[in-house]
Amino acid sequence: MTGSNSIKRLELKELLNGLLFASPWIIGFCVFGLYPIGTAFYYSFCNVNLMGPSEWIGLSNYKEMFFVDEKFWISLYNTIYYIIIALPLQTILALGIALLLNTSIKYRSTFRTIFFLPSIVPQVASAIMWIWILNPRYGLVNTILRFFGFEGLPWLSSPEWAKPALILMGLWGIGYPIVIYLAGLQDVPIQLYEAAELDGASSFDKFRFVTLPFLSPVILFNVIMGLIGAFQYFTQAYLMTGGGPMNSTLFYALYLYQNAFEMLKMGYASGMAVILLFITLISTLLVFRSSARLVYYQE
Amino acid sequence: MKYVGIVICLITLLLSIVKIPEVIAKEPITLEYWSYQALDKANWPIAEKMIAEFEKKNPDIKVKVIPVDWGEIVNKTLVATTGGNPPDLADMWSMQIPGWVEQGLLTNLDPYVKNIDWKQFAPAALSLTKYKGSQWAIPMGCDSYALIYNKDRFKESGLNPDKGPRTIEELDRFAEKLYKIDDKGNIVRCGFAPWFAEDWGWNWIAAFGGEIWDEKTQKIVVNHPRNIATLEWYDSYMKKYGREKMLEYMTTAAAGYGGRAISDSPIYTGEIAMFVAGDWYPKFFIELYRPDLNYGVVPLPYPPGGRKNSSEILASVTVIPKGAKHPDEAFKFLKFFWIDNRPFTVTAGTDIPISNKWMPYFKKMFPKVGTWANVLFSPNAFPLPMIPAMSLPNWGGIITARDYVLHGKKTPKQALDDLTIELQREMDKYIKK
Repeated sequence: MTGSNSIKRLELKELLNGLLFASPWIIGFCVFGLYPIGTAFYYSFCNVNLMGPSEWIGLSNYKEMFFVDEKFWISLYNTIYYIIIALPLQTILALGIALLLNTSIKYRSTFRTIFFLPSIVPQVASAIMWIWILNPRYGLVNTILRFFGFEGLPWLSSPEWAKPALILMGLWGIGYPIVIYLAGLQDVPIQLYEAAELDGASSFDKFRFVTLPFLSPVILFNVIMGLIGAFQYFTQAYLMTGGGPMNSTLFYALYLYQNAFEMLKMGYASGMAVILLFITLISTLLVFRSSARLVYYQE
Repeated sequence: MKYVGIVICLITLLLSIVKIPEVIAKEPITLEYWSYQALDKANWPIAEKMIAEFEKKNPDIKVKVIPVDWGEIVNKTLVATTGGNPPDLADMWSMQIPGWVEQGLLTNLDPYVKNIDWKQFAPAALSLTKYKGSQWAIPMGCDSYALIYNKDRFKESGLNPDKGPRTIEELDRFAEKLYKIDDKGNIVRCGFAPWFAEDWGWNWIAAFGGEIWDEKTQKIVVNHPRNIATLEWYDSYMKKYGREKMLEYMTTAAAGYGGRAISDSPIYTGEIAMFVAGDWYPKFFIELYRPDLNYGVVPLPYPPGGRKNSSEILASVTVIPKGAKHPDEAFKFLKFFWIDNRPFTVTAGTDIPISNKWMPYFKKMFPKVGTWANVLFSPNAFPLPMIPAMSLPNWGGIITARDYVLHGKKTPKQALDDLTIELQREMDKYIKK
């Protein structure tokens, strides 16, 4: 009897010690994470008054969002457009570059550094720089296009080309996924490549049957991180286009920001944040489920 | 040895007694002033001299200015005020005032301004600090707009370089002479188009006699017939010179809406011969990028039934956030810095004066900006209405509406009807309250 009691007391003591060590993180998470999220949920049902009590208005904000506010749907469309086009492009490009950077070429480290450099340029600096690169008259991109005999494109001045312009800019800064793919590539057992070669596999076969399966968990990771990041796409649109022209680059996070800090509609913005949380959650779950068949985990 | 300890204690006590009178004497109040004006490193020393003079006259008040970037100051002040720890003074823009007052973020200045004589001030400037009958800010400076025209191009095209266009009819006629189109229909030189170069959307509507808000009926009237007429005039340039060709011109040669920060931008080379410009153009852009530009300035041309010598007017203001620790002293400083004495921005020429008192000085020192100053004081000046809906992104939504028309996606009436519905929806929330 005393034996099991003292074991329970020991377990309890260990539990308490563990909690104590984790308490800074737990407190931080509750105060700076859970509490604001909960408050945002609550505020989404209110007309928020910044310097006084907020007024409960039930589902009014959500009703306005779904049935009255045209810009809500425009911003959702713009964000999904970006995700559907930019994400696959970024994945394929990053993977391709990582494969190339994994071959034994001269100055490989230098090339790896060069490809990683864009991602350490601060976002604000690169946004200002890209406004000039994309300038229809003086910019680098159009100068190159004209050099090859094509006409310059209007890029950020045109509702049709503004999103592709931002997608192009996004492709420039894929240093992080490249590095992660490179790390993943080192984990592929070389013996499998040799065995495949003995069986007469071509380069493409090797890629498809050896590299890809072993890389699949890494690809899944990058896709999910890219997805979550893309849903929150904000800085470049805020700095470079302000949502224009004609709301063609009004992304969801930017519209949320405008509602909160320019229109002072905190309740409405909180509602948008709640919806974003659910959309991101559901998308991520969908990716996970569909990945079950495609991703191969080594035992 | 044992006396060493006693001696040390005695010395320490003596030193502390010496400090006590300092503590008993009144601690000066320190005002915290968040300002984007302070970012103007070249001219801020003038302001520092004024602050030193104020501190000398008021020994119990110290002013601590913290420079905050334009892009950050509104949010920073918002967060600080909501958090209960605001600065005593903060720079802002008139557009913020209605929304901020509705959220209870500003101190009502009525009790302080009761005894001030506002006669000398431009009425437009004053109206931009008032909301629902009370005054919520002190104006620092105003923006007005006028038409800059290239005198060399005028001479070349047989126009009198000393007579800029005064009516829309003249404007359209002069523009025609100034345009150069090649045989393929491409625009080689754009005489004029309403959206170059600082077209914030409401300027031409002001000149055409348009309206935004009807105070009596509490309705947004952005789809007023004169506003529609304005956008139809915009569209007439698209139709006359070819929408495709004009859009191509805008995105290639004109790089958007004119490009002011490059020396060989079309507005400086004369490729665009007439364009709308804000009062800051001569000092901040032309002097820097094209000091040899031979230009003239006229108030915005207007059609029959429109407003003579008009443009949209906006103000930069200073507010006392709600919960500021020393509002009385803060206002004392405001009065000294922006009302009683010539503001440093006027001394430096970075802003047109909003009080007639400083006009003689300003016109003597900065004659090139005279036209803009006249527009500010004109009875037809068009200050944007002080309603919360005007803080809708894209300049109250007019830039988006304008772009829809220019790109041929909506008719002027459609674009303005849609904007009216959107703005009215925002206003209804406040009217219900």
